[in-house]
Amino acid sequence: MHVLVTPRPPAKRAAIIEAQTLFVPYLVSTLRRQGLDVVRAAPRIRCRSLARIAPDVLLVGVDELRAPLVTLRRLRRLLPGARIVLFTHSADRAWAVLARAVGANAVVGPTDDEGDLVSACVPVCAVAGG
Amino acid sequence: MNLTTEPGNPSVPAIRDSGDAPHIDMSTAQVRIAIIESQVLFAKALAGIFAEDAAFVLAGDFRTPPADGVLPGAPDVVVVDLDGQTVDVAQTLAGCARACPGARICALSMHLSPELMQRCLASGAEAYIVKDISPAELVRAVKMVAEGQSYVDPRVAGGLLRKRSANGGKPDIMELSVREAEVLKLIAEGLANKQISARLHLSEKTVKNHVSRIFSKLNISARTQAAVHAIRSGIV
Repeated sequence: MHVLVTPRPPAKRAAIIEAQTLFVPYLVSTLRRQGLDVVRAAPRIRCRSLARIAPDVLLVGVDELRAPLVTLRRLRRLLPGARIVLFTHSADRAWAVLARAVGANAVVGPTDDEGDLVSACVPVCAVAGG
Repeated sequence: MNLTTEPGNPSVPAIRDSGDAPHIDMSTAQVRIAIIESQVLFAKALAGIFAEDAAFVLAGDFRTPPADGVLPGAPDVVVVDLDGQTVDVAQTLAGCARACPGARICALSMHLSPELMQRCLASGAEAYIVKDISPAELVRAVKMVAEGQSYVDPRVAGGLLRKRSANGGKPDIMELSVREAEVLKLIAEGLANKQISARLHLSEKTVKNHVSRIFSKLNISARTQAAVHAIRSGIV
């Protein structure tokens, strides 16, 4: 009998930036349940730290950012290969389209549920280590 | 309102007299809590936080206060996230009060704003909680409110005091007697009339009289407004 053994790929690394720290434990546990390795959760963006960590997935709460699109452009330049997911209280579709154009891979809005968050962060067939 | 318990039904809170606001004896009863949060994900996060503590039972989870009618589940405490609500703070809180008669209201916000805190307290909220705290701190704050106390984020209260100090203004608080000022200070600390009477060695009736005179002199009608006056004037 021949057994083909393929090495399990390493878990994807995720970072969370969210000023509403009350909700961060929930976000961390949700991503971890999907097999993501949450390596950092912080209330503010620290570019140097993010560049060092180089997460595969970056989840950013944008409601507290002064200029979210400017910040997003900077993050995209900093992490060209990362999947950047924004979440917001705003249901403005036009803003979401703009954010995608500037570099977001997905925008999670007020009516989106946990399944939407998961599929935004971990698209089908992209889960690693699970 | 007198002390009422419902033997054999632990889910029905024991309510005791707190002077003017019913509150829950958390040693014997669960707190029915309603969540009003516009963001579905964060509503789930809040529900999860309270579900982990046996002191709470979820009465409902809503996106906005209803335009009319009463929320089901007869909540004891309403936790409402003001961020993402589409109407004015006062309107949102009035909607909560109308939809949940008798419930105590905790306002959540992302803003460390003394002005917003004042508006919330003046609009009937018993707590102003900023969302950069931990889940454990939220639970502690909501328990305080359920027990009949008030809660304001100490950083915001500090900002209010500094502002008042910078203005040098002590408005109508000067009209209070020394004893009334003492009572006001204790109201601002969240004590009920019974607790104040014990602390000051006065009868409860006397404390009630002091509270009435304080309300009259300050032209207010609620203990939360009294707390705002106390903070504004710098006596706490």
